[in-house]
Amino acid sequence: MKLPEHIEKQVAETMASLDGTSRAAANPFLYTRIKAAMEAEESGFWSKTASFMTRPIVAVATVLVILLMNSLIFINNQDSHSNSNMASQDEDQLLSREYSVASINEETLYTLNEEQP
Amino acid sequence: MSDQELIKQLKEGNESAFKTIVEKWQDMVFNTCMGLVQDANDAEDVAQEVFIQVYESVEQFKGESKFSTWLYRIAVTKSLDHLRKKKRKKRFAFLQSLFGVNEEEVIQDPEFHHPGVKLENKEQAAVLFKAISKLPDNQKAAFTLHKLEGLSYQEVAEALSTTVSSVESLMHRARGNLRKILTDYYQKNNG
Repeated sequence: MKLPEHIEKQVAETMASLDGTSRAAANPFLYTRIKAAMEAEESGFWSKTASFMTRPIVAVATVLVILLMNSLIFINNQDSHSNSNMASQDEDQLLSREYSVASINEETLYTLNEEQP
Repeated sequence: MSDQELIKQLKEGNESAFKTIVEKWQDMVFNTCMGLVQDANDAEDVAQEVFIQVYESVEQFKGESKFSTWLYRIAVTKSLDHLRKKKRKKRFAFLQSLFGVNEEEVIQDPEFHHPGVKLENKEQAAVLFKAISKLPDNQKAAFTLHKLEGLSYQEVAEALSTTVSSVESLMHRARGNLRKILTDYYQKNNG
């Protein structure tokens, strides 16, 4: 379909409207702004970290994780404690056996010493 | 001082070399960003990002292409990223307004007037920019670099990391799409 002449003309003129366009000039203080942005980016790391850590959800999650870890450590310790109790009982028996032997020996020695005079 | 000398000094962390680079290429970068994002404030923000990227990744510049080509590449990528983010934000705001979460009205972009356009072409150029904003990203980039920055097809191909024949094809399709958009526009507006 043939377009009306005036529309074709408008389209052609619009298509050519950027011909001879000159460059847009940047802000003369662009370098200063760039430096400021770079410095803000550097110093912003710790403040961003701090603000992230102090978010309620992060703080609550951190406390929960610490509590969970504490309970796990506590439960593990109790298990190992009961195991170690049994082990220490065995050790006690061994020790007492050793000492009882020693005491018998001592006793024998004493009795021997007592009997001598 | 030559470009190579400036880049060498920038790689060594010389601040004054960076300042010289910014001052030498700021208009070129700003004009490219301006043509693509079609907003002076946004273009300045994107130009800032471009130079920060240059400062941070100058080590990656091996000198295989011209420094200006590398700058164009960064400027185009950053500008298109900016447009994508803006579109996403606008879509989200629109959805929020539909559900009544965001009571603020979704504001349409105002007409863009490039400061370098000849006075007699202002109105038509604004219509053309509106049409350019509707083009797909690669066509938009090729058309802007060629028309606003006056790059040859060879230079556009280098900046977009593609071949000259691809740029020819992009430009052909861009012109076709623009003609179609403009024809529709004038048919509607001329009754």
